Amino acid sequence: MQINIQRFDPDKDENPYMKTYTVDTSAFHGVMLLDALEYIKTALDDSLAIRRSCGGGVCGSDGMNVNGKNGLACQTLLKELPEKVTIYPMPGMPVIRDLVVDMSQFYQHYDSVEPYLQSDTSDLEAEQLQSEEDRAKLDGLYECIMCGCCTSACPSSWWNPDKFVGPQGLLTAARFVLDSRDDKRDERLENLSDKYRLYRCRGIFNCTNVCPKGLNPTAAIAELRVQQSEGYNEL
Amino acid sequence: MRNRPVFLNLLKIRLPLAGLISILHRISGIVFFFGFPLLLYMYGLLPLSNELNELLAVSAVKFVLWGMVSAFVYHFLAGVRHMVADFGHNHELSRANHSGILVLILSVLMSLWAGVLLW
Repeated sequence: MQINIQRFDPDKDENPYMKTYTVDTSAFHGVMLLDALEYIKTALDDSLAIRRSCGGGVCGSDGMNVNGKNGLACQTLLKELPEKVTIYPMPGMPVIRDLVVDMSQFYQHYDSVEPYLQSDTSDLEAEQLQSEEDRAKLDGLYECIMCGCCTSACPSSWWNPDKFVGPQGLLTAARFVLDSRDDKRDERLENLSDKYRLYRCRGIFNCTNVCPKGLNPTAAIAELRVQQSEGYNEL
Repeated sequence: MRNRPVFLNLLKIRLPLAGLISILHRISGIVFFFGFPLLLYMYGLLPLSNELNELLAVSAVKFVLWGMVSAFVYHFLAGVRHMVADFGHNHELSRANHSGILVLILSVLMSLWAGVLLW
């Protein structure tokens, strides 16, 4: 198997360049692309920088662009890849080194939607109960692992990285707007009401296309717009 | 601040069909915008049907007019698709692809029809 990887070391390189590795997939254990990258790092070229942690699609560390599509290396089966694989760092994010990108902006947008439960009414000392129906509204929203594959694949985020919250942040916003235990629905919707933060989405669906957890940020964005059109409760 | 290059080579990043629909939506909008003065000019010539016919006898003019009609048809249909989505419908990837294919097929058919009417 031939794996081409974009390499870049800020201490040595002026510009990124491609490096090709020929990998014998029988030389290591494991069936995922991450296993092949680990093999390259241990056996062929220890200068390769990648992020990884759990290796099981839960931590969201090893997002990268594989043959044009964002995904997690640990969730990408080698047998489903063609003989020639080309790997770039996640698009639209500044490269720190090799496949490691700076996700500061991504986290800033996440922070801007106040991703935590805010309740004025609940007794915070006691368990906050929710009906099964209300709980079900959070399905498809709470599972996000924040790997950044969606936001990095989104053209609206590429062109307005600082203004458009991006699919991940908006999915999270929807998760709290729809939570029956949260009392800040109106404020949360107001926080997304300018031209860019929510409305820059053009329905390109690449977020949904690439999400390794099978979530649908485009639908969450549509839901936020519907919630806005239904008006505020109190404001 | 260290040098931090951003990977954003659009030729190497794959987008779903809805991405193509969106790109064409913008291009068709720009084409229509810049071609609009021609339409206004031809509209002004309408009472003088001879001059308009003379103008339309030039195949290049006819072709540009057809291009503009095609751009408008596409822009309109893709816009309707976008508006439907804004009303909270059509938010599964497969359905977005189906509606995208429908927009493409309808625009090609209507553009062909416009061509038949013009020539």
